[in-house]
Amino acid sequence: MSGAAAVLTPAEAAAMRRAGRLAAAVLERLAAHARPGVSTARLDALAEEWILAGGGRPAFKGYRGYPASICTSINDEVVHGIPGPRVLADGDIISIDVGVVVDGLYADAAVSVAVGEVPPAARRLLAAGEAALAAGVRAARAGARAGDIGHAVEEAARAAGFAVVRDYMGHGIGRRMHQAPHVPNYGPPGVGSPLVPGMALAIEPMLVEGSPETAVASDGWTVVTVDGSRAVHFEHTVLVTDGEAEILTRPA
Amino acid sequence: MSALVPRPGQLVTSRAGRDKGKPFLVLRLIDGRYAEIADGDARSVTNPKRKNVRHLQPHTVVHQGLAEMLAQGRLPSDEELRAMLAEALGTAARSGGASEAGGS
Repeated sequence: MSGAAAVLTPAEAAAMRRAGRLAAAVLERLAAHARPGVSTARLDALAEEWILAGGGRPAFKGYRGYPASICTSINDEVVHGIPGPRVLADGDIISIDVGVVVDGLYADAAVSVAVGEVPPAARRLLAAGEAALAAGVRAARAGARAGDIGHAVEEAARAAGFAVVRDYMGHGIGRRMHQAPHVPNYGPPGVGSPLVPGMALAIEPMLVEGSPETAVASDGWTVVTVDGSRAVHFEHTVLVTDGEAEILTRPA
Repeated sequence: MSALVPRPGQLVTSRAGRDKGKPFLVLRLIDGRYAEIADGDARSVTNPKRKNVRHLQPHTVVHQGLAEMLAQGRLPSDEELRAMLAEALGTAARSGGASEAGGS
């Protein structure tokens, strides 16, 4: 992660809105395709096709050598799972992460969804992840600090009985996918970078059923829970305003 | 795609301060917000620099030997740390100088 926190110009914000709309639309369609019997490689191929058709470029492909257009992380895989021949099974949870570049501006979004019928515990984890993201977005407003977001996320997760992953975090976003400020998913309020109008953030809580300790698999990318427990990942790219943050990756 | 929080054993570059641009290895994280870093030279193992993680640029390289040593509660000597830093920098160079660790 590099560079100072950037405030977008109106033209940049407009491009990021386009990127966000495309990312959201692709993510929504992918989530609908995440059914038993579908391979993650198929989801990746569809994503790339839709991103390109929408006038964007897959942000992840080639990023530090990452080989695919999306990340697909299943069950105990937290984030950065590489799509491949693995076929989704009934009862899986899949986290799909999409990054899109439009006119040089990035948008980043993720959602976790149930594949077929999942156990009640998995449904609770999914709901908690979504609620934690909503809490984080609510905390992202001018005058607050990045730590306020993390605090809100962690409190929401804890209230639902789950832990947040601490090894990975959200980030500023703009003309680079990862830029200042850091947006952690935990910690005390009132710390971290001040949030100002025009700053774009990727807020992305990762919640786990068990221990938040993670490891990286032998492919060098896939992050898994050490104890094998399920994880979920939800993410929006938002634009900080004087009021509520504008969610750039909200589905239409 | 989430960004990586620096972890013990990780290669980082200072992004701010008098040591800006210099590489270090992370010895310890404090509250997830600060990291103690050292290079075995200007910053010794026994007198590491405490920096805000926002002022560190993580690389995708973690020196596993150092990470394991730290996990066991042991510290390397400055000479060992200098060798580890050189190894980590070599690994980073071979992998294309991966510096903006997000992928992480």
